[in-house]
Amino acid sequence: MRILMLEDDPMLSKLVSQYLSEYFCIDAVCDIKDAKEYLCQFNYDVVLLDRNIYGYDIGLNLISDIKNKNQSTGIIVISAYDNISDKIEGLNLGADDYLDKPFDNDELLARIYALSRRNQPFENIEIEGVSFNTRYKTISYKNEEILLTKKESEMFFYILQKKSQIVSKDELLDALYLNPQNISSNTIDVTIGHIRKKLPVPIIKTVKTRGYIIA
Amino acid sequence: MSISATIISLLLGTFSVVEYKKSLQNDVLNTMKMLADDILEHQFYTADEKELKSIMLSKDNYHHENYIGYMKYIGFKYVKNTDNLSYDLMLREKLPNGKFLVIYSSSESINHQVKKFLIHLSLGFIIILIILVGVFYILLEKLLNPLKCLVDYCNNVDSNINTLPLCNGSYEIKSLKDAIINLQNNNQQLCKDKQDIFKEAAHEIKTPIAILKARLSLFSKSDMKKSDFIKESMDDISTISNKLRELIFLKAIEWDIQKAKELVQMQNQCEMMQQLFHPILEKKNIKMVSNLEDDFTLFIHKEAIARVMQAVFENIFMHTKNGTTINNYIDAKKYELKIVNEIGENSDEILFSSKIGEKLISRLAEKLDYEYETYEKDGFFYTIIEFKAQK
Repeated sequence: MRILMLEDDPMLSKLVSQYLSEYFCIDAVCDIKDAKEYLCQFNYDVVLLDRNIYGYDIGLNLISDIKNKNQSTGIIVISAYDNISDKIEGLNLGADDYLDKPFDNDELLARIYALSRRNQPFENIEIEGVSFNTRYKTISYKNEEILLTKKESEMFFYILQKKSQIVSKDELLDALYLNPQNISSNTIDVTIGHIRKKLPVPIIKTVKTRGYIIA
Repeated sequence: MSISATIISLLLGTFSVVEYKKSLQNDVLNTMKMLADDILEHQFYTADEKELKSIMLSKDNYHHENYIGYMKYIGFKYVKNTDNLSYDLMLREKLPNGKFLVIYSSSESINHQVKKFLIHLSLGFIIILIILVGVFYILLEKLLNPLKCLVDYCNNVDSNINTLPLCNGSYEIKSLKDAIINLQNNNQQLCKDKQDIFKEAAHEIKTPIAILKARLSLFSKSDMKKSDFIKESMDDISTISNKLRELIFLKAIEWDIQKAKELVQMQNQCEMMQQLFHPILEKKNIKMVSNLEDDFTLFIHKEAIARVMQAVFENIFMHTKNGTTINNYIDAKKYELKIVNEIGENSDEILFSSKIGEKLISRLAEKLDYEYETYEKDGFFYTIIEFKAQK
């Protein structure tokens, strides 16, 4: 999963990025201009927005840009503005969640996961006899567990999360690699190939020139 | 209160009536005494009882109006024994012939006069009551009701001022009403400012607290050394306290800006700073020199600008190299103060430091109509404050 964090305080940005980088690919920016550039460049699953950027309450202005690019990108507003009216404003503008400062990192992590699970209402999915547990990222077939490497698992479950949607190579690169510009798209093809070999049934389908899909 | 006043009035009235009656009775008795003395002296007691009265009436002494009135009711009697006599008023004198002369009178006249007195007293009481009620009514309308209205104003702090009564009264009452309203408004504003300061403080320190929390969270999951964590956390705490300090400083400035502007001379400001920070200048062996020939006067919020100047000079003193000179250049044409100092290491002299940073001093520039600039060049630090709006 790739996350964009807009936070003008460099220390907080550094600490939170450091924490979240254990779990996700994270891009931390400190102003709106940089945030817009990154949004153009990458596909994000979740955006963490600080409202107050250098003394101006302008963070929420980015929400429309984010949603215009990709409606399914989750937005969590993180702010010191904690009045009910402030929260209502943020949520009405399109934010999916609103977290008050000071916040707990673990709570933030849980909310990010919660947001990512929106598109996955079911924890256990079965496709053509193969069972998938999206929570624990396990695969089993006829009571035997199928093991994937870390990258293969991340890639497969990312596509599974977007079940019935075509997932482009670019989207996969952005979601799974910190510096996707340094990764060849062949890497995706190769990893998909490895996953297909390990799965007993053909689950991942290729949509020519567009990407992959799990129907 | 009215009941006790009534009871007191009744008691006083009763007392007056009783005393009046007593005095009348005494007058009659005195008259009787005079008559008795006269009778004895002139031996009129030889005359008949009936003749005695005529004799006394004929005498010139008793033609006085009061006596004539009494004489009407006075009777004379000669008795051997006075034991069985019971007259309202009675005087007895022993005669030489062993008999007693009894001069007696009924209380009819006295009662009549007491009645008259009572009527006069009642009328007087009623008239005074009417006058008092009238005065009280005027007082009520002109003073007490407006005062009560003012008390309502004082007590109804939370009410909309438009729903309160108008408080009609004299010019002074109206002025007092306006003064109370102003005072209440100022108090409400002060309370609001106090609430705002806490609200703003809470808002300002949320990010630093979030940093502290994030750091703690990372510390528990990483190999970070405890000493490093403590050091960084102490920096975070210092940031929080600095933010609070700056906030208090800002609020103090805002309060100073409420007051009227005054004329302030820049040379005076520089001298004031020198005196204020004399201990630290002495300790660091720093001299401060100003170009005395030039000066300009500002029309500004005196205390506010004093605070800003104090913060500016504090920052300068903190980083000025020991044993050097700070030069103040005042340009009267440009309304500019330029301070030049040699850069040294940061001092530990936090005792005199308000730790108001440059960012905040820049933020205040708009409020106090100055431009603030700093830069470093060739080991020297330049601070320029220009009061363009004053030109």
